[in-house]
Amino acid sequence: MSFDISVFVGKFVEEARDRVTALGVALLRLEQTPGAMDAIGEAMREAHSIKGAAQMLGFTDLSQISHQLEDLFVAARQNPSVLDSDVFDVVFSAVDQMSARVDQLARGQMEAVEVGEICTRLADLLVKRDRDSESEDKRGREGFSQNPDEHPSRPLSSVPGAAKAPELRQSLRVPVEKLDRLAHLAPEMVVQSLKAFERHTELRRLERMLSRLRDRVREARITPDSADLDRGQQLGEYADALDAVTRRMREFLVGFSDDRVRLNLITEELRQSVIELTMLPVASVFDAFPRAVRDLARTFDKDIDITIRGRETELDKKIIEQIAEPLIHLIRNAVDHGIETPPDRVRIGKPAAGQLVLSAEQQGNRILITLKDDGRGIDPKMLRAVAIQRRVAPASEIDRWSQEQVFDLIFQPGFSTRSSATDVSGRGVGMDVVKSVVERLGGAVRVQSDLDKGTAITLNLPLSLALLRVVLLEAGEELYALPTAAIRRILQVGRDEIGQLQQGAVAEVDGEHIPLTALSAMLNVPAAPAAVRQTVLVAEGSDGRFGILVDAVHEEQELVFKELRGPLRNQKTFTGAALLGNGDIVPILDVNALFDLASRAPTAEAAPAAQRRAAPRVCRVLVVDDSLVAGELQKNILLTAGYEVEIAGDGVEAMDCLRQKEWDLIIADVDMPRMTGFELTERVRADEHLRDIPVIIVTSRDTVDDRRRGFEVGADAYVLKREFDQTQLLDTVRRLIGRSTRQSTHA
Amino acid sequence: MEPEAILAAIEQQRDSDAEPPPEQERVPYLGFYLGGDVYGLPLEQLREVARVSQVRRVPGAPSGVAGLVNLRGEILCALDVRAILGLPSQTSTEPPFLVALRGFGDPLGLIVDSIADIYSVALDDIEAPPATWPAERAECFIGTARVASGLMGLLDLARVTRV
Repeated sequence: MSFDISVFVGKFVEEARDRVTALGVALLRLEQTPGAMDAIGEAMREAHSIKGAAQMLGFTDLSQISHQLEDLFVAARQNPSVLDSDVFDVVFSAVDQMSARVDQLARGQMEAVEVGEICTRLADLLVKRDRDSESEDKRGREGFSQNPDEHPSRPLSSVPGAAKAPELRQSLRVPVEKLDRLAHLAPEMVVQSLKAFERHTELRRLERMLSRLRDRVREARITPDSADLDRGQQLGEYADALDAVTRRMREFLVGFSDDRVRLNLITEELRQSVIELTMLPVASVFDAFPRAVRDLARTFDKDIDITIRGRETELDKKIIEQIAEPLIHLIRNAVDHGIETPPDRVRIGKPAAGQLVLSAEQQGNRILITLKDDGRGIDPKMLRAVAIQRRVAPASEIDRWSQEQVFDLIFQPGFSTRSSATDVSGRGVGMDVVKSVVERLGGAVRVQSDLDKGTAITLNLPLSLALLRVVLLEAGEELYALPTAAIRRILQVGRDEIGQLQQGAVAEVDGEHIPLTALSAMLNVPAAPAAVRQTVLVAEGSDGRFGILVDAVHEEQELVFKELRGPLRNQKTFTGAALLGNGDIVPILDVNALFDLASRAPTAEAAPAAQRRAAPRVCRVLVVDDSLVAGELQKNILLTAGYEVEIAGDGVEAMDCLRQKEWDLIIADVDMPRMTGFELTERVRADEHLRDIPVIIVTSRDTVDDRRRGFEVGADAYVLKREFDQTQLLDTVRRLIGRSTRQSTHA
Repeated sequence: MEPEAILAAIEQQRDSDAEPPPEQERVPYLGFYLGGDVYGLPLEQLREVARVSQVRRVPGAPSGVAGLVNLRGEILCALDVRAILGLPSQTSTEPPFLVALRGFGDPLGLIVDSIADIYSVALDDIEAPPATWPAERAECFIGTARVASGLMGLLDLARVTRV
């Protein structure tokens, strides 16, 4: 049987990712502090370790690049000038290729890739240095070859000036499933401990019965009828025996009670420890950012210093994984829109280099991650103007808004400047997505900004996803949980206070009309008979506030969150489930899914027929694609999701269709006969009647230029065919249609 | 048949895993009842059998999903085999059994009425599902085998769990 390396690939990928990141960090430090010996040593160690592991598993491409890098660092150790500032682009590009290759391996692509070019470029760097400073370098090389101690296979001991002694890693890699299994045991302990409590109560009842029995026996002994002395004495003995048993029972109870308290404490500690197991320092994402900022600054011709604080702050691994992309988006925004170009900065008296500070800190059971720049800040006047122009709300209302409310506008889907390529893209994230990711994690986003001084955006996140604060609700005689973070108010509303507007039942909360929908109607479960006073939860999702009528509200609890898996993975209504203390399962509702359900379900109190939200018009989508197969595929996906769909074969045909009916969305291919998708988009945007229809470009062309062109002509999203998956397309469609129907409400 | 006996049988099966396969290829199947009919699944795909007192319904879930079950602190997605096979829903008042599966990545289980026995099925004796079964039902089986309690439908678990 041959040696099966597949088992090791996962481990290799995990380790190589860490090492490539560490290598990047060391290089960045080296670029900032030329000749930093400890950084050279670290880079060399990382390159060497990658080389070793890659060789072992036969990944020749990775081992070749890392080998070249190692040689370069070995030479640099002798002569730091080898790593002049102009070589870093080549070195970083080598690191990027390694990182890309590791990603490929992670996806199972095992065949080696071509690395000849980058290796030659790396080797050239050395040759060039050889020529530039031959004598000096030669000395170094000779020294190297003569001294076996300095051989790179023992790099740890050979780095002069290395700051740290060889570090013994006091850690283990453990598959997440193993931790999950451990996490399952903690709530089971809680259940056991509750059972023990029940037994304790039962024991106390028995003890009371015993002592009553003892008292009866004593009474029987001292009754006046003392004719039967023997009997009396016997009863006395029984009473004494009973007394002794009762006393021992009481002692046992005291001991048992102590045990139970200790068991509770240990259980709680176990639960906490299990949670801590899944915590990682934010460094695992933060450390990639200096490099990203460096590249972005180059792209946008900015000069930027980034400072990172609190990288050791720990956060749930699942949260860390999900915030990386939103953070990158915030950073890109800050570099692109926030920080001015060096000449502009100098003109207004700021230092040429913009300052970006990314920090993480723990406050109680929350983690605050803040990205602060000293750029131009957000102009509330401009935001108000755009909001009025886009008819987000009546002008008079917008004028009354607080600064905070105005800043919140940037999180509205598609609000920020449409012309910008960083707005909404097929796979990328906009500010609205940043907000929804953070909210899905049970967090909140806050913006502070001073015009011309800078902007600070703070993500307020829970420490751990495993523990979720929820409010337990009752509907249809069953319990459901809704995260506390999504709940604004809990009110009792009298039936006479529920008003009927055209769009259904509403209640007035803080001067605002909140639409009401019964949870039982949203979930399609039997409703309890309406009481005189009803309980309303005012919840807030990323699309707004709404009222949920429930049969009852129970207590708030902190529950151990568990994902729904298997066939339940794809439903949207529940994000997960949790076990209650008594072992019952309670599903956890997703506030944004509820918002969608509320828009569809009949509202409370038999809503009138003319209700817009109860019977939404089926959204109509025009798919423009000259490939029949591609067109039909998209049509099927959209039909299944409940949209009405037509296909047009090219841009000209599409324009005809667009003029005949009302459309909610256009999905267009790029390369088509007669009129391309870009031209079509341009025409739609120029047409007075069509310009508000969102356009998604679906294409196999993936170049920066194409993307840019897509956004220049006014596309709202850009989806690559090879990334084409159903959920992503539907998410994008939903996002854009949601946006346009909302805009039309105000039109 | 009591869960203890089944567990013991599983243990025995695990122990014998290490031994070379017997001459004639026989595969142990767990037989269970849905109504009066007996169905089977390969013992090696069985994790455990437990009596369930509560199945938590999940509104909006696919029709093949019975709900969520708490199996000693773990939340399992329990499938409604009756619904998947297109059989009439259960009328018995007895608490059902959960057959927890293994090897499906996600924690899954089947809700069944009761456990029949463990049958050793010779691969050669497996026959195609009767032609009288509706096609969508027949698709859920790899075949049938004759056992003491009647004709046992051998579930194609890969198909059944794809709700």
